[in-house]
Amino acid sequence: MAQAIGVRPVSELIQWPGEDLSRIPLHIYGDPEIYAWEQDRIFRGPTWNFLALECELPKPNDYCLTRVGDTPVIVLRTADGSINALVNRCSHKGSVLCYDSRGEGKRAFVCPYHAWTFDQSGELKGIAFEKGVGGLGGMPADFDKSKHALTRLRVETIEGLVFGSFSDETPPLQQYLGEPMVAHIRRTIRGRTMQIIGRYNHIMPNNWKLYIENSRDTHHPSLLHAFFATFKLNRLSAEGGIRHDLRNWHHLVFAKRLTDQGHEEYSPGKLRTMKSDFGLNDPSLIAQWMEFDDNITNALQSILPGFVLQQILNSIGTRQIITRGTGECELIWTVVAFEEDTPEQRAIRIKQSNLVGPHGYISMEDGAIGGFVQQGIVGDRDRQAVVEMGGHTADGQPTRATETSVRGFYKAYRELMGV
Amino acid sequence: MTATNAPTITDRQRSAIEHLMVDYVHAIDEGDYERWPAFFTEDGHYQVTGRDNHARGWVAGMLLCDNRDMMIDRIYSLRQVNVWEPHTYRHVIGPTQILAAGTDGSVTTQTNYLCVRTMHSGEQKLFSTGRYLDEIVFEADAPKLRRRTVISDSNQIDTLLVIPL
Repeated sequence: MAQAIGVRPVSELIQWPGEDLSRIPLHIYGDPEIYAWEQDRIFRGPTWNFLALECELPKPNDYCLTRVGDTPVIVLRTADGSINALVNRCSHKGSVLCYDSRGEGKRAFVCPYHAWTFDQSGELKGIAFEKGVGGLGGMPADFDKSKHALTRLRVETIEGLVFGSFSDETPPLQQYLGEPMVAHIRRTIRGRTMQIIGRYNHIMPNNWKLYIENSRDTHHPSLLHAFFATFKLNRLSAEGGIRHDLRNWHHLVFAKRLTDQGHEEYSPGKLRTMKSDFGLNDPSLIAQWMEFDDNITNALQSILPGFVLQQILNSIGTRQIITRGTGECELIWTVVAFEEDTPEQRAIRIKQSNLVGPHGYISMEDGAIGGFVQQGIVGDRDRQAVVEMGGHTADGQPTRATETSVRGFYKAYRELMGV
Repeated sequence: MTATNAPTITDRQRSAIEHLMVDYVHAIDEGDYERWPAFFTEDGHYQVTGRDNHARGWVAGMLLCDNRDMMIDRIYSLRQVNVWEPHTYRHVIGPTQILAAGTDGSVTTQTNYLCVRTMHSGEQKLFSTGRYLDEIVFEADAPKLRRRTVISDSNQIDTLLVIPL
């Protein structure tokens, strides 16, 4: 199973410029041959891709559809309660088996074209007219149905997040994530029961990598997202930092908003409105409570290749990148509440959904800025981006005034792509 | 809601509601964004959501405001804070259907819309189609939106949503 068919070897397509990690060749954002290799080596390579939230599959035999890179995938809860992921492509002619984005009571997957039937593990169980009609036609006697199962992904979950991998070489999920990433996921979800409260399908006019870079770019928020600086929400001077896994593949950036406030102000469960900082007519927009003992109020956790777990004040959610060709991608934002929330806390999360998504006070520019880059580079495919803030390496650094995490992403990219 | 049990409102009310619908889209389409909050009551509620989100009862829509001050803040941010490539909208709205008349004098209506976005480059794109689901009250005979839920047929938003629909 490969996309990179009839294209040049990747080593001919990409020669990384320079000795270190501080340059990015601009043609990787627009080359269909490179895009094909990315599908194979990144999305279907030794990586774990976010698929769904477990709460989207509450009952046995529920399913929903997603994509891994370009590949359509069915995520389902089996009759015995476990979660499977199957490529949504009939092994006969290639039609999708499911075309409704979600459903329930699905014990078997029947292709709409010629009624080939697959079970919840992807095994081919039935072929219409397998024995022909009246002794004529039908499949040959030596046709082996067991050789025509659906492609099945490995599946693992953590704290209600479902991940899938195409590769047998991917380490187990927790090993892949590394201890600091596992710890932060557990800290954010904390075993609570997720409920989706909103979803935004954000079409971005840029290559998928430009959004991933953006989500790891720790020094743009206070510059591009003027809302932060105008209302003093996330100044680089606020206490914060960056954590990586050992390979530098995944990345967490965080800030502690209330480090200069009295203890009483941020005791868990206490609502707070920062009128002194704020020039808005209605400051209830950023009313929050200290949900976490570590006093972190903003945290973006990027898991290679295309997943972000978000905490902006009390807005908790996931972001999933779906590729859509070289010049466009889709970012699926899902914002959640928890069954354990009080009605007040739930109301705060709903109101804070104003901060994120395609309409978000502090995120709408991320839809525009990737498009600005994509527009700007179109005539200069031979040139390079400069990512030298904070040096030339991808080490962890005790500041957010650095591009170390962008360099970290391209370190991982080059390892996966073999360039 | 069928025509046979459609609630009755006065012709004058109906005409005032129709005027509100038209005035609202002209204010936005002509870039008169500062007029937008005044179409709502002081405690007016506004949000944009997708048809699928709405059907699933997911309440966290986009550009969510639960009072007029939040709307004023949105417009201030649109003008002074947010970074976006200049563009304008053109709404075309259909006739307003009266769905219900409440005992408190409120009127529930729905109105189809189609919105084309024109970028400063000249590029035009169908940005959104859907319906306005509205709760309207009369303040000194002037109709105001107490609640406007913009239910876009698509859950996708291209690039960003900064100007209200």
